[in-house]
Amino acid sequence: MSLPSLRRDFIRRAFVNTGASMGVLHLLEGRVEALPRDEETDIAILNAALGLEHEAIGLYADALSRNLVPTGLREYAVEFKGAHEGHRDTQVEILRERGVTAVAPHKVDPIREAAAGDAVIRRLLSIEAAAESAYLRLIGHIRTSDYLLSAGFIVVDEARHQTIWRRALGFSIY
Amino acid sequence: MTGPSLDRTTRRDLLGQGAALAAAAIVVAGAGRSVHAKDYASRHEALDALDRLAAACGMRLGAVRRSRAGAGVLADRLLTALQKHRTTREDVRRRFSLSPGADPGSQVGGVDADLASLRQSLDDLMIAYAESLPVFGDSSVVSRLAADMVEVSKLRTVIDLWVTAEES
Repeated sequence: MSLPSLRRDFIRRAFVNTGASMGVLHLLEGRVEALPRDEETDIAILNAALGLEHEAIGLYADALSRNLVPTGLREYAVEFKGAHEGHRDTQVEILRERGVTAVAPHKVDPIREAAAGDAVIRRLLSIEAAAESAYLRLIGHIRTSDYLLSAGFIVVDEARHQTIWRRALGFSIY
Repeated sequence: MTGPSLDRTTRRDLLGQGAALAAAAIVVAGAGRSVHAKDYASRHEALDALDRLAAACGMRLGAVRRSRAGAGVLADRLLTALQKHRTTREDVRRRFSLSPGADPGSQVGGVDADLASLRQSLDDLMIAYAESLPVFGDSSVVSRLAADMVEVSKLRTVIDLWVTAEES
């Protein structure tokens, strides 16, 4: 499956699994161009982003627990899983501040590969590319300053992760 | 319902569980300076800061290109990216009828070709982008600046990998 297909598949699965707002999903799929800039949109984006983070954490956890990450790259996978957990905790906290209960983690489909190798890294890259793409598509629709600031900090992390995995796979990084 | 605002240092700590940005925050904290996110008072102030920090990155990149054999192609690509970002910021200034930014070529002063310093300059620029987003209050502008910010994060990672390779 190509990276763009994996990305679309990942986004749809993460959102459907979390029951995220259809408005957000339609924006990500390019079926609508804008969302109202209000509290409801912020909460919908937060829950959608949480779905993405849960999916990423689940996949990294699966890859690490089954030793699917090549030895020389394992340290990065551990770091990136920790970063996604930080993103999750931040967004759960923002929701809590707003009196909203965050969506619970969903069951993540295990990685198909049975051995460490490039295919697993491509899978992890697809998560990061999907997350970066989703955050960039959504960030302009965030209304509140504190969440916008946090989203900015989060998306630069996703960009870093993506660059590291592209380098590991020998893809162009710049 | 809106609860009390989470202190931004705490939020950065949460974000910082392995996050690249945490490194910058920790460095800043270690230097005894405030780790609170900067609140820009105006779009003009934010754009001026971004212009100034981007110019510093450009000067350092230029120094790296001049002093390191084989760095030319990469440095030129990164400089091209920074120039494209400057065009974005000029567009934003026009959109909000703000005065043009300072010409980066007008900035003088010597910089060394140290890769770690270049990485720090790119960190500073990346953080300034993130901190400036709330002041713009316009969906399309935030989206464009965020895209440039992401590119700066990638540039920063490329330099980080270079530093790591030289250290190993």
